[in-house]
Amino acid sequence: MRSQPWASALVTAALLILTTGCEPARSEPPPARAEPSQTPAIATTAAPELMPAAPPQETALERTPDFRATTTDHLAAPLQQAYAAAIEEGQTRFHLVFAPGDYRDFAVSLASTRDLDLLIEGEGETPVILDGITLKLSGRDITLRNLVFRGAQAPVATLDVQVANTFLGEGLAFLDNLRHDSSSTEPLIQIAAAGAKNQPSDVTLRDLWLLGNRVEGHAALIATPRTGRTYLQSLRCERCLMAGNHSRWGLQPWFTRQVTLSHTFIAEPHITDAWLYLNSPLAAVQWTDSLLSTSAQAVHFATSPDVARIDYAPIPAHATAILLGEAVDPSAFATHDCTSGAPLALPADLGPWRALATAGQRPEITVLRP
Amino acid sequence: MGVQVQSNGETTNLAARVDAQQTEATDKRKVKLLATAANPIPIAPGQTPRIEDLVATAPDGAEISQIQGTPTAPNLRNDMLPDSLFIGGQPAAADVRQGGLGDCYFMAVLLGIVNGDPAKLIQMMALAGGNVSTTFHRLDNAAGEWVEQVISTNAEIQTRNRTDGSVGTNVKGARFRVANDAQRSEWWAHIDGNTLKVFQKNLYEVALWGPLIEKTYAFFAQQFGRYGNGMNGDEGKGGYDIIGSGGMSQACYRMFYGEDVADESTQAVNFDGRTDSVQLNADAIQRLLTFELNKQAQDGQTQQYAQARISPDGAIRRAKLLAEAVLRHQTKTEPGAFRRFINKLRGKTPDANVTAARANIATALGTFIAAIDTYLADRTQANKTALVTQAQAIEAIGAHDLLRDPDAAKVYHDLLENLGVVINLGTDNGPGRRMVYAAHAYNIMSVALCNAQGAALTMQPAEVPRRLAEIDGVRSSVVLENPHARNEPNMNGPIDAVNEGRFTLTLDSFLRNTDLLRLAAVDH
Repeated sequence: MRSQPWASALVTAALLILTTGCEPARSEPPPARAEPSQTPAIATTAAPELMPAAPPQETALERTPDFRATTTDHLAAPLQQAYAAAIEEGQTRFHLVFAPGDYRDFAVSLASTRDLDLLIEGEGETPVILDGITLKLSGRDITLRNLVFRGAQAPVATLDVQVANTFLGEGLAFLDNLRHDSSSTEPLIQIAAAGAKNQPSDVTLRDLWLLGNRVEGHAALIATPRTGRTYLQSLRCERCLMAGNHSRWGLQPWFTRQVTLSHTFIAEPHITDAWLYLNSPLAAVQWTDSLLSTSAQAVHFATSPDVARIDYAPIPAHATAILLGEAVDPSAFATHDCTSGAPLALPADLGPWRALATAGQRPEITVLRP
Repeated sequence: MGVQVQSNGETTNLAARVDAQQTEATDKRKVKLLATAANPIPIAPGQTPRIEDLVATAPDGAEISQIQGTPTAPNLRNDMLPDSLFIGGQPAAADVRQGGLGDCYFMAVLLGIVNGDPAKLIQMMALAGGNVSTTFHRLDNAAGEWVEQVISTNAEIQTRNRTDGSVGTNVKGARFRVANDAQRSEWWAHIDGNTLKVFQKNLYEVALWGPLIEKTYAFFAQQFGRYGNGMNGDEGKGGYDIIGSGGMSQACYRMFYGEDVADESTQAVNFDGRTDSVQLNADAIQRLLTFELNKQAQDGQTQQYAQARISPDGAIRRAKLLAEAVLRHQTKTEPGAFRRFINKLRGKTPDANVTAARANIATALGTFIAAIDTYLADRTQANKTALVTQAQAIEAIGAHDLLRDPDAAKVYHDLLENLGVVINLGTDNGPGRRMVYAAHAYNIMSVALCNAQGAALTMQPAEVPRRLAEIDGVRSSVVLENPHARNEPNMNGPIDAVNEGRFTLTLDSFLRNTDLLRLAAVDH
């Protein structure tokens, strides 16, 4: 039975009144454009057209989830049936909420269509912990937030996103996950544009923790390969902290036109080859208000029969500490207000940082440099 | 010709040369040659010429006192038909025969394309004048687009010295198939001193496309990377080293189809040792069904490809889950105190042999689980070897008959299958028994969903989650192809009479013995 429009409007109005102010503390309204930088130099270089539009702000009423999970058992047939029903009924969005509960060792996949918006979030003010869970998502506008992925051990990426329009990953932590399989190039976090040919996507990772993860094979922690027919217009990392991870590379922005690393703090003594692997000069990179500490190469500029090293322009870096233990190569970075120095030593125990991540604290540079 | 194979997987045993006996000529005369090695006469295979077709009496000819070979028992020469690429003009699954390189991921893709789009292989390969060319696609990193890249080289098959201590060479990498019958025979005679020799040369079509596409792929990978999208850490390595160190099937399709690849992805397969795997894998089953419905495609349609594998760690984790399942089963089926009392009143005493067998395997599995936990906490080779050794001891024939007892509970059989993976981890020198190999790509050939009565289910992929309860994991099946073109599962002997690498698993077994699907979609 369908409700009358006027009745629906009344209920909406009443609920909106009742729920005003009930937003979770972590879900502050994202701006339509990315926040202006704290330093003028950055503000002038971060062109507005490169900033992805944030997904529409959800109202409290719209947040009534299509599915609320509390245990691993819910993630198999019940979740798949709810998701399939949403597609069959022609919904434009699927909203999955992970309530605090017991989640263990399961590969969740919501990837049957790219025509559905996905909103997936942990319930409550602190992130919900998913032990051993991998997540594969495909959709138009995808928002994933307030979740901790911990201890997943799988031959696939812990998070695999194929997005047709925008992806926002906010308030996420990846702790001690293992992507095993030495013959794979799949990263820990894989984000690929999935729109029509030459219809690019935009990705924002905000308030992200990556601690103690391990990726085997020729693979990165985060990569944006092309799995379909288009590319990412932009990849923004804002307030991301990556430390103590094991992989060959940190970030591999394949098929990505603009990479912006802002307030991104990296302390990676176990990366073996280079933190940033650039496959093509088509990817422009900006580094602002950040810290990069690695004992590996900072950036690898891949060459090929089509691309020579000189085709890559130096990466603009503003107000960033580049701690490599050697002088910063001017052909790699065009620095402005940057500092250099010895790589940071990680504490023997990352436990306190894990505690911050699981408590939903924002990553700050003070974690690395108290 | 070496030891190559026919379509049934049997070796041809076609020697390159077989010399006939030499005898004294009964009819000493002078002859001249009508057909020579440079100008032989063609005869249909199976037919024989007359001696008069090969030599003629001539007063000014050579005097013959010895004969080696006759039209009915000639000196035999077997050879490959020049510039032979495909047998009968078509590639076949039996042509894909992975050899000594770890490129199963690529060979499994070849199987998929042979099954779904064989014209593609004919279109992209050419062999003429002893040179082969293959048209791959590679990423132009400056433009961000995939472009065609032709790789040309000589068509000589790469060989390497044998590793078993015997003298000679083996094909390096993929082997090739020889047609069952010669396509052409050539006959000629030759005078060597006063000996007349009669020769027959049989020319066979050979499926050289298999080793030659592998060879050109090695050249390609050395320049453009394993997937044609850059070296990705393989800079400075040799082509065969690059392609032979494993890879991801789904990433290979762009080398064949370039910009026409619409999607490439992976899909994890769930298993928890407690729940019916069908119920845990709605999405994987959707993917399988999508593949089955779209594995053949016409112009304007999207074609699906699918490969499957289990990772070594995945097999080990599942071993633990299955061992725990056996222990749970034993606890559950152990009679309680009340039942034991009733049984005693009725004079029923437990079968001592069964009790002992259950206790024995429980003890062994307890130790096995501990070894797995040790490995998972510290993933060293030594710890892996220790658990594999334990698995081999448990799986050994005669060690625990419950595993092979047809009347034993399914959970024992499920564990045995898993042990058939674990015992061969890191080696192909196991006990000769196997389930599937870990870290090995298998091509998925077909999928059939059935209900509990065995009736075929017709449904669309979108219906799978809603109709999951209708799908019976034991009645449904998946047909797989091993790129080795042999080495089918054989825990209790060969599954079928022809060990050509093609075999059927129940869907239940498939979901239990694979942890990853590799999928690609191509627009035509």
